[in-house]
Amino acid sequence: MELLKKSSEDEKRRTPPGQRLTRGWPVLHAEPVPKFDPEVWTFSVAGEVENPMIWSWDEFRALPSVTLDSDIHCVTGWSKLDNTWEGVHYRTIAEIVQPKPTATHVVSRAPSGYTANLPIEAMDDDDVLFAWSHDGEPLEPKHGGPLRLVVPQRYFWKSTKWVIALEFTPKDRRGFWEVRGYHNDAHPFREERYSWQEGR
Amino acid sequence: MADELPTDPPGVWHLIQRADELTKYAQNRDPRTAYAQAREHLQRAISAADGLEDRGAGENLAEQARVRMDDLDRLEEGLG
Repeated sequence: MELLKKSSEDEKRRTPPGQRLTRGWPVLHAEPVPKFDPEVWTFSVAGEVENPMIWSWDEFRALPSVTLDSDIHCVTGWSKLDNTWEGVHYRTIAEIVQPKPTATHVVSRAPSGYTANLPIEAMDDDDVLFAWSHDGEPLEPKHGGPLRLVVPQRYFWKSTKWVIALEFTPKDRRGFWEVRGYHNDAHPFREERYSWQEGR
Repeated sequence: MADELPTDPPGVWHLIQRADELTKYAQNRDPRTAYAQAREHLQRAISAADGLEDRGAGENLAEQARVRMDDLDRLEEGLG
């Protein structure tokens, strides 16, 4: 009984305002699922970096990997706790490409042209990774497989599905949803959902 | 009888947000139906935005709705 109570308190603490918990994992995206061919897939990093890079699928999978647990918070109002991700830590990528001092922001991109922007400090959080696995299984295409950026401290639209590129930029450049009226910072625990809340 | 149009910016934004949700969850159902429903919300948002007293807010919201109409055009093209 005490354990149940503790578990419930823990869930409450980890659930941001305005969110409801779900055990399932709703599927949502504005574009069709892109086809994945490991022979032609690439992941590129460019912009304000000392060493621009392009990895093939095999090369990317050969990078040192990590397994991290985190929660998901979707701006449409659901949260899913206790997700286990496996992939490459952002810091591993950063160590290789060496962002220049002029780099202040990062824009992630999907094949459709979908983008999401973040300040470089947000990418440097302990739990940010490029994930190919969720809860021990390959990340399903409908959830962003083969590779998804995972930024747990922000609403989940910032975690670009099917990510194929990262650009370090010298100034902020709003992404797909950010230019469509959604919050530039997107902190779930501050309930930063919409752009009209910015600067409050 | 059709619902009355919202008369304030939050009400218009709510229509746009509903259209976003219909678009984002379209892959779980018949996308054409979902996109058509999203369009209805956006059309209502544009009509409501045109009637707002705050013209600046009205123009911004109408533009947000029009951008999404263009998005839906591209998404529907992709359905073949």
